[in-house]
Amino acid sequence: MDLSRESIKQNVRDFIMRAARLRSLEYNEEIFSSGLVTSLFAMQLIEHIEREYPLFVEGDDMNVQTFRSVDAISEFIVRKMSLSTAAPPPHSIGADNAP
Amino acid sequence: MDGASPLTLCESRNTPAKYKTVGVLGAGVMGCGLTSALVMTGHHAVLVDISPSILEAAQTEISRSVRFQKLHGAAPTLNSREALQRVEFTLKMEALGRADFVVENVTEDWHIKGDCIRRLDEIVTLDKVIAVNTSAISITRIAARARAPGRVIGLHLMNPVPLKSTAEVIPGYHTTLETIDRTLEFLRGLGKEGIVVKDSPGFVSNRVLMLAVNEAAFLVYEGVATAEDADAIFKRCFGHKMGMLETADLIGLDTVLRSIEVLYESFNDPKYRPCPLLKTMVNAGLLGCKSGRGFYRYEQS
Repeated sequence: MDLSRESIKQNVRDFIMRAARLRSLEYNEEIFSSGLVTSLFAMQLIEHIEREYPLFVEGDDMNVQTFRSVDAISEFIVRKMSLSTAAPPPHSIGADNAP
Repeated sequence: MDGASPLTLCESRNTPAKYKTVGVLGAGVMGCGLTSALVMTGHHAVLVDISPSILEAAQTEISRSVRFQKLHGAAPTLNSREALQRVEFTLKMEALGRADFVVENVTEDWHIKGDCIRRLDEIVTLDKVIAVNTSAISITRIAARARAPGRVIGLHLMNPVPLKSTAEVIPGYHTTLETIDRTLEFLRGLGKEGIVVKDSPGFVSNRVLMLAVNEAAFLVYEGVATAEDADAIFKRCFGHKMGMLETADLIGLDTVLRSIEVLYESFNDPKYRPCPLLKTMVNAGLLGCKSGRGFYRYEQS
């Protein structure tokens, strides 16, 4: 898998455009505050990211601000991957760390 | 279900919950949504369905819903594991006898709902309310299956249940004032309000919404507009968060079709004639979000 920043951006943008049926999307475009998608979509988005990349979205990151634009999402993915080069966190039911 | 209300998680203003254990019959979309909302607001739940695989899927769905609660602005009150510990998943309907309040959420089919109410009426003691979660079926007719129709009431919860602040409450002909009060109290414990309307097919919400959804389907069927364009007009011209056909996909096209059929049968009015495209899509298994394809395609999680 290509894990370069540019490839991640393209993957994330493609997913959002396909899933939210958008005809165009700028990398820095705010997807929630602009009304392009609702917070319900964030669930789909997080599940997509976790399927595509070796990371787990934890309680503190569970915020639409983290996923506000393609740029922000890609930045988040790169940061999480650089932190999680050790053992991957569990993906099983009940593995989230809230509260 | 039109997404018009803000997507903020409903938080209980009534702690601890008066109805500590709530019985939920049916672990479909609404049953899972209700159970998630219950555990997030401090309740325990007994969730009953007829199939082990449906109950297994319900565990995953409730866990997912609780995991993502923070996304919708709530301070998480519990994690997924704790949430699942608050739910008794069972195939035994008799377990609902332990509940302080019961909500029936089975398939929107008069025969199935009628049979369920008759059985619930035997299992649940007469001092408990039985709420029927329906979007269209007559509460008076369903309540007639019970020994004590005064404790049966309609409760039209909206999807996704944890995020919707208001529900339609529908007393049947015999429903008592006490049942209405207790149902509103139950909703407050969930952080929700109820709007009480009279018993009429489709009540207020679906009598209007389903007609609009059906007409939007006709527009696509007749080639007047694509689904995207029909929805874009409502979103961009009227500021709706979701278009009619996106809403239909979210509800489930089988449920939409069934609701329109109920309206058609109830009023014998041709204005509720189901769009042939809807019938074809349902027959073809294009049920919307839950099947991965409806008027739109969806990423399967």
